[in-house]
Amino acid sequence: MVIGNYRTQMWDKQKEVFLPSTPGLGMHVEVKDPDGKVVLSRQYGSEGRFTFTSHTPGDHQICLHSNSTRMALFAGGRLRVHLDIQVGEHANNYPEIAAKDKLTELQLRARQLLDQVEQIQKEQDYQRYREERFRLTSESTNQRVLWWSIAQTVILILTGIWQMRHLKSFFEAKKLV
Amino acid sequence: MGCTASRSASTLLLLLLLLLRAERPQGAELTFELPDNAKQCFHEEVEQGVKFSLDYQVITGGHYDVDCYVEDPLGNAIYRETKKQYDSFTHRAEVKGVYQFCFSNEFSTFSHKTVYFDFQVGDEPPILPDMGNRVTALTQMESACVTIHEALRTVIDSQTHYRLRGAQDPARAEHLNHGPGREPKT
Repeated sequence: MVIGNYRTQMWDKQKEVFLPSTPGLGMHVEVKDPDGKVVLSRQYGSEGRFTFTSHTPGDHQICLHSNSTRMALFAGGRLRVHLDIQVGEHANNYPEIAAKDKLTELQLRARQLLDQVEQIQKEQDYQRYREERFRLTSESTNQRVLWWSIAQTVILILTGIWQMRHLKSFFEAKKLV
Repeated sequence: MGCTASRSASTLLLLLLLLLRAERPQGAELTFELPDNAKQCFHEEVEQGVKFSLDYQVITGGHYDVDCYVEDPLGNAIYRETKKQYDSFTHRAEVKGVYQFCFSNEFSTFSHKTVYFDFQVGDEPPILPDMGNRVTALTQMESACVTIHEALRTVIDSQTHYRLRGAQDPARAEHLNHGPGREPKT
């Protein structure tokens, strides 16, 4: 699970400080999975929190862009974006979990260790998946190189045969053979 | 902007500030795309006397190198390196304020790069917010938990580094097999 928090502040050209909050400014958040499919595409306000859970291992793309053009006019083109992205076990809020499940401190620590071990396990699964993908990609490339060499050899042989025939008929026509 | 791993260039200058949250270890881990001839800066508010560290690594692109510099709130460059593939830098903040660290791909004309960085400020806070007011020593169970927690954290960190370092070859193989336009797998 991935949790992203952001907060935006506009630059006040006259006072030369960043305004504490930015009413009216919206940010569009778009998340794409490793296959390019859009997982999340939503408009949030100037301050927002978005979450998504990954179903495929690999690079996910997180994009934030503002929808406001008046920022360029009033803010002198400057926007401060506070961004915090928590992934996996970092996304867990332990005080909240302790309160919800009524855990003692020791139980909470044990839960944290369990979460960490789960993350390690997921990472190891990912490494296995990636190694297999790499092997399949390499095999595919190898296969293509093999077909290419075979095709090239066949073309060369056919060209050679054609050239020999052509030369032979040429010499026969010129009465040299 | 605000686009991590996106191809659209923005004409507006955006300052990206990493969010400080009191209940989490301060800092952030981010992988972002740096277009060619571009520079991307990040800022973080650091208190005086606090130690912070920056680890970065180029994952994909060109010759896998990037320029990096870190500036204190007064504008002095406390770290500056050119064409590095990966590096680690720690510093104790002497001045309180907003520190800036930038990655530059301005020397490259056509290869955009993907850069990973891990910026950590201070120490990890306790798991429950009121644990900082503890007056008694930890029990054996609690000490054991803390030791295991730190060891697992080391495992997770080294897994991350192994994943990043091993990302180049699969990315190149994918690129060779499927052509450009396919996202590399990190």
